[in-house]
Amino acid sequence: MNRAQFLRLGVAAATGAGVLAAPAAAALPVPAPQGDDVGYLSFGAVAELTSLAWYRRALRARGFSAGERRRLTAAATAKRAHIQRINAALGPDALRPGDFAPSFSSSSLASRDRAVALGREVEDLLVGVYLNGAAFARDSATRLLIGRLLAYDAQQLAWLRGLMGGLAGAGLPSPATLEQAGARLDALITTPSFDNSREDDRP
Amino acid sequence: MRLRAVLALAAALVLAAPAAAQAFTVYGAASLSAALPQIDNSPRYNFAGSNQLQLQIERGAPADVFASASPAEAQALFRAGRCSRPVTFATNVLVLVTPRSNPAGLRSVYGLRGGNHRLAVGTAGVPIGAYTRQLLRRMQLTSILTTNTVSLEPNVNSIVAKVGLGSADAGFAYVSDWKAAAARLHRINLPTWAQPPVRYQMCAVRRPGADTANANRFMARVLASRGRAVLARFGFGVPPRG
Repeated sequence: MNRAQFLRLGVAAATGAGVLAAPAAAALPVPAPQGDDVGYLSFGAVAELTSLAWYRRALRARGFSAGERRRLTAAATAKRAHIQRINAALGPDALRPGDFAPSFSSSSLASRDRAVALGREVEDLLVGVYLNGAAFARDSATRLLIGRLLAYDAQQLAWLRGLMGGLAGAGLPSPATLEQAGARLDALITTPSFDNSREDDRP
Repeated sequence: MRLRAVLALAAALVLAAPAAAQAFTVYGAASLSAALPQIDNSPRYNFAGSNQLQLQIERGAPADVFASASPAEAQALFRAGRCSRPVTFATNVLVLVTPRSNPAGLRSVYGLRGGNHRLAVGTAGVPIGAYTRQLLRRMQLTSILTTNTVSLEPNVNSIVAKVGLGSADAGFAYVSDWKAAAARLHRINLPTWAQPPVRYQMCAVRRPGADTANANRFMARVLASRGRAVLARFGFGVPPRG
């Protein structure tokens, strides 16, 4: 781990520790995203949904132990909660069922190793964008929300790295702009399929 | 008694005459102006921004079918009892279009962050404008609406015309619009993750004298295999059957 990675890990750990020490969720301030804050949360919603889709697919894949499956199930539950929290903050910009239906190429899930690599990549994107959001979101409550999401997803990233045989604490990814992260996310998923289960009155 | 019956018949004929004289009319989103006549060329068409058409129908315009570029307009008419339950019949994707020669040398939407470009964007009320703003919010690019010289257009056809003529360096439009004018326009794709869900919905207008039978026939034609094939040929997505 080089110095930059060590410093980033330190910042993230401090953020995570602060967040984890925060009072119960009921007492948290309500995020009111301002300006570009919406971008961090919108990307977070889409990438968390992609991550949720991956955990669900991984649970159907072979090669995971019983303990790993329990962790995958718990992560899927956490991801659903993340999406709900982000959507609550996004209000009218919230991601709705059917807005985005990510799917993966079958080759990216052909083996346990490939599947884990894909899941790690998605968590890597989330952590990268959340690092940026935790630093630059204008609204303090939005920053706090992003910090809490970051704390959980950093743990998941470390766990997936561990599954790949890497060191769980081998530093955090670099903070990612939406331009960088968006291009990487687009490359990971196949074109979202259309879902007409909802015929609501958006945009 | 007989005189009363004759008068009633005469009155009925007089009232029925204007309705019969009116052609069956489809009010459609501007982005459908190339595709719908290829599916059925018999109706009289009125193409414009969906929000404008909604307003006209609310004021009693003689529409029989309304096909909007987003659910908002059709659903509002349905809630007001002015049309049948809307059905989704097509989808679309947003792209950035430039003149074919791309004189500003834009390679990505992020190139607009530098400012000083001429940009054609739909007004906030028209679906293409609402979708564009939603996409820009997601991409943290709303600032490009202030750092560039923006012309606000009432519908997507105006955006395409302006860009095609070189009066704008770039504009946000649907991929189907680019496809219809590919000889004049260059396309720059926008990220999949940031795309808003673009859904077209149509409904049969409820008003006195509406041609409901023809409206239902028209909608069935659009939803049938041939209609779906035409929409797909023009670059629209089509929802799964069911």
